[in-house]
Amino acid sequence: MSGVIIAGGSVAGFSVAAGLRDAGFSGPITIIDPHHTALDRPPLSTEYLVGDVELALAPTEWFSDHDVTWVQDTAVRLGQGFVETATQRFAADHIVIATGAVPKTLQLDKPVYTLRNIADADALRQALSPGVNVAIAGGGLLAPELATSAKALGANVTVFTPQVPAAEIFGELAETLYATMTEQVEVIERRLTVEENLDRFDLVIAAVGVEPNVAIAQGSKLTIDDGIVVDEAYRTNVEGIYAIGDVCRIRNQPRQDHWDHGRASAARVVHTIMGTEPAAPTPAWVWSDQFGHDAQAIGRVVPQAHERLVRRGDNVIFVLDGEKLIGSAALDEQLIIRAATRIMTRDIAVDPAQLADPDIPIRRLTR
Amino acid sequence: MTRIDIGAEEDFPLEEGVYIGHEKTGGEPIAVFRTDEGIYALNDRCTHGNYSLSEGWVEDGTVECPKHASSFCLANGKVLNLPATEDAPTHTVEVVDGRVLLTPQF
Repeated sequence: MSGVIIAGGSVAGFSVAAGLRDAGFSGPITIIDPHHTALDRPPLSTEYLVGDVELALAPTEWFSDHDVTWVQDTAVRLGQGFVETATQRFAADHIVIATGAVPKTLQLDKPVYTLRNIADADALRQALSPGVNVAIAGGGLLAPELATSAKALGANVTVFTPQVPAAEIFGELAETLYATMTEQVEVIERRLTVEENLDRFDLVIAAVGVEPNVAIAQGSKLTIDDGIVVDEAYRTNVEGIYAIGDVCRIRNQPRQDHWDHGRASAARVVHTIMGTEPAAPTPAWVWSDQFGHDAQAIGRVVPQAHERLVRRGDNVIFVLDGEKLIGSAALDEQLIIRAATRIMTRDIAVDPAQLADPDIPIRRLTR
Repeated sequence: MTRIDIGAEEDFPLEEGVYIGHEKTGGEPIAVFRTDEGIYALNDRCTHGNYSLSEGWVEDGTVECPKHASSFCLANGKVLNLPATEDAPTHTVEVVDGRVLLTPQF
């Protein structure tokens, strides 16, 4: 059986290797990644920043047990059937690009930090000493998470955000998260720009989004347009080359840059390589730990005109199209999301009155 | 190893987890799950993070951590999907004359 080269070994790339072995793929598998092993990212802004947590996606012996070769290097070029680093060339029939994204930054007259990898987190941990005055810029999930961690480390925190963060992800529950943040740290409701007087700050953290890390595909025949463009099976326009996770964008869809998409796109590309029938796609799932809240969302939680918003207490919302569940968001109510995932993937009809009633156990609505 | 009486079988609802605290187990808290297939015990703390598996979603012989959705096999503690990467330690639990008896394996 022919081999697979995977460029990038975070959750997306690693999950391809693990998924192929689970599916019985017996050919050689190589992962090329600049880190020493496969590392997860979500804890970097939270648990890792304030304490100690294992980031490895697998123990070291997993790689020998599963006959997966880890090459600590950066893939810089590729074409049909090959990948190159600065010093080595690898050949394989299947190439999976999982190089992720790079954070956007801000050009300011202050030290500006970003957070993407473990080295960034280590640098931030050094910088965020007690009493340091930090401005955090951003309107997504990352800015409130970093604000939470920076405050826990004793920094004086100011968040600059032009909008209620992550409103498109958590719907109206984003307002609750925003209110919590304004109680905990100083929040300035505008975009941080060069016009801002930053004299009172020691440093700035830019959490202003990411750009797909398409460097490997520059100069290749791959189509790049806000990410490496792929079809719904994550195939690029070049035979045998796939792109998954944050680096890719499915044609005619917005780019997705969340952990669960890395995992899901990896599972899909395993089926593509194995030639097996994929499971139905699961709705997008996002979580964020911020200021003591565990916020989670599945599917789409901002209703469109013909859809209905259903509230279950103050911390749970659902969006319905007739009896069909479109999405759900919840604060500190994880089982709601576990249930909503099942209701959606199994296409179970739901009654809005039952969903809205906190006295009806959510499990009952999944059976 | 001590066998501990942790209650009557009917106190353990089907397809749900029950939290057994350290004061009873003499070590880590343990989650006990009763299903139609049997009764099972795992360390309560998810191997991925600080979350209680007894609050998880029990289905098809597995428990799914509510926090980040890693699943574990109830029978042998094997982790079935990311983000957790380590198996959950298991303990011996049995039903004798309607009583649930737990033997922690610390």
